[in-house]
Amino acid sequence: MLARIVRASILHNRRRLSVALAAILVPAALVTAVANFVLDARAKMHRELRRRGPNLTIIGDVAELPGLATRRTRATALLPEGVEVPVIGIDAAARQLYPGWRVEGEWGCMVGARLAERLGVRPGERLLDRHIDGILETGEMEDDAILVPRDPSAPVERIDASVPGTVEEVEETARRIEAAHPGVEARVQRQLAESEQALLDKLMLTFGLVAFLVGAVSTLSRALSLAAAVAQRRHEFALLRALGAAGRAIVGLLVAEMGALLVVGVALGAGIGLGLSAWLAQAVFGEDVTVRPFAVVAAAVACMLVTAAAAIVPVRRALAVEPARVLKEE
Amino acid sequence: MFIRLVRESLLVRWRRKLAAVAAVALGTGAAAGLLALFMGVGDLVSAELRRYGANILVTGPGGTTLPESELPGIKDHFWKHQIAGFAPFLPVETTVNGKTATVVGTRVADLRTVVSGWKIDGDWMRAPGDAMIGASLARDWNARPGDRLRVGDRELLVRGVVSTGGDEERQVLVDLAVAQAIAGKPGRVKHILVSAVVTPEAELARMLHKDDGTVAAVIRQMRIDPTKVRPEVVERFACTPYPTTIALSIEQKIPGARARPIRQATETEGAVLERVRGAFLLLTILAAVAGGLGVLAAMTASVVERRKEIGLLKALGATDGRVAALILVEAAVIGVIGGLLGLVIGFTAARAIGAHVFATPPPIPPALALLTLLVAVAISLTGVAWPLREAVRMEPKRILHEA
Repeated sequence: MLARIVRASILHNRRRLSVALAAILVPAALVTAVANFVLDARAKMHRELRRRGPNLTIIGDVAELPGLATRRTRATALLPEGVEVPVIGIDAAARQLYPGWRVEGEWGCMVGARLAERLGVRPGERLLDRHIDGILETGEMEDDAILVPRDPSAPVERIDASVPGTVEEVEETARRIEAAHPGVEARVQRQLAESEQALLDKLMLTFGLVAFLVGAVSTLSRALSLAAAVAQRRHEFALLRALGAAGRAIVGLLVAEMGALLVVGVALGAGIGLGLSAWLAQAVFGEDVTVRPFAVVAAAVACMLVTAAAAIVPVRRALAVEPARVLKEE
Repeated sequence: MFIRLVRESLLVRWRRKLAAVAAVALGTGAAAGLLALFMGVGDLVSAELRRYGANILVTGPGGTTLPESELPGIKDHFWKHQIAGFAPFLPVETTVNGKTATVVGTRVADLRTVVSGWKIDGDWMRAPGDAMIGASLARDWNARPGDRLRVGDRELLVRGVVSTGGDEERQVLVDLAVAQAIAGKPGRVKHILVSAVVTPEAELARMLHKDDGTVAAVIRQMRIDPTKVRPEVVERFACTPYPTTIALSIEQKIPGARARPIRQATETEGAVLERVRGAFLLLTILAAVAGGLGVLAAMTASVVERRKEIGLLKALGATDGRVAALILVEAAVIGVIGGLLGLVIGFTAARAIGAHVFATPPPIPPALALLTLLVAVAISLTGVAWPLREAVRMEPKRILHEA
């Protein structure tokens, strides 16, 4: 009987159905999308920030490189004019490790920008019997040096590495390396590591607040229309009571109705929301989103709470009034 | 008469209207607040990234020194507002406690404007007689804060041990004047680190639709001979705080100086900024859509539940135009009140978030406020338009009899 009433009540009034469904579906989708995107953004932002360059310098050589890293060798070469210049050997990984370095020409054997300017060499020319692939501008000491692919037999001067994790985790890595290799010194680039974490924390706090705001607005404004939809059914409730239904039966009917709507609305909304968050992640980071189940749970709970809160006042009011008076009002 | 009708309707049924006003305020507030944050977040994040440290290195011509007296020039040129801080350095090899070491002179107050995240065991140096020692050196020498160091023929007090991850770990930091005296170069500095707020030059690559290598060639040409560069690129350079632009501006101000952007610092910031901006823009759009839908729903509901009233008005002889005008004016009033309320809420929230998270609240452009308000009113009117048309079209008798 209850099932039939619920089914009839839901299907009978299509317009009311669409209003109520939208009232659940829209916030469910928005909350899922924003929550999933924001929960996922921290890892993605961290990867983005980690592209800013090495955060760990190891003085000496270790067998196993931590994370993305390049060994560096250092030698000197005598230019024809009698000036000594440093020759730095780097691995191919350097290209990913220092995305900020600017190369005019090709990666390979490169002459630092200041040195190249002084000598007047261009990419494609020869210097010290080497073919110059490119001119490298870093703004740092490499500008006065020649950079070549590393000779594996040459002694390693230091290792530059980009290690994921918080400052504490990077420091832990540094300590582990020092413990495993006596005589090796591992230095954490504190300025980079620490400001990175500070920025990440701030961004996530902002994103979190914004997500909360979006969720609150979408659920609250929808609660208003949901409350209006329930209030409009005063007559129906009055009629049911006049026919002998108990207040609890009416509440039960409403709970069953809302429950059915919630299940459908949240399921559809979560699906749409996850799609939306995938699109957001693709648009912002150019990467696939990782689905965080917590986002769907948050959306479901938010919708449930809001639906309940929206229905309580109008239902109590409808049940408090004598049915005859409500019915006569018309 | 008309005004009285509107006033009565708004005042007598104010509780009903309150829901609509609240919906408009919420929607507008969310959209306006996020828009304000979005407009300001680029600057906030970029200022935050500046705390990463210096991004322009100024040196003397051909490895020589620069006069200290020229230093104020770094903050006194066309792009002075982009300069967040700068610090001079003078390294000198000398004997410390009987061993040869690199002693670097700097001005500690300036130093703190370009570095952050240095871990100091002990304290920053304060007086000219103070020194700070790199962690790696300190370990070798077993030096601790409070110890005395013999630097050259002077006795300095070790205030702190610094861990930076950089070359400083093998150096002794002293006051600039001390290093100048040891090196016998009074009033000279070797290099200056500058922290500037810049637009990454990667943006130029997008504008020119060229790869990084070509852009590098263009930028090199800018340094050597700007007349050979396309005029629109020169113009772009002149009006954008690219690292090269600021470096050139510093070079012009300080004769003989060579200023170079530190690429790893200037270019990677762009990507981070872009991501943050993108995320904020999309979240803002979502909030605006959520707010707009909420306003739409609330306004539609407000007319639907007044169909009987509309029917009654029509039965009493009001023309369709009259009724429509009444409802629309009401919607506009609700839109304006709710919108204004929303602006206050939204901007307050944006400033609170900005102040709390980034220490400086974002500025609120008045044009943005006006635009948001107009959109709020427009959505309110749209929300009532459709149910209003239906209600007005219906025969009054049917509406009154209904239900």
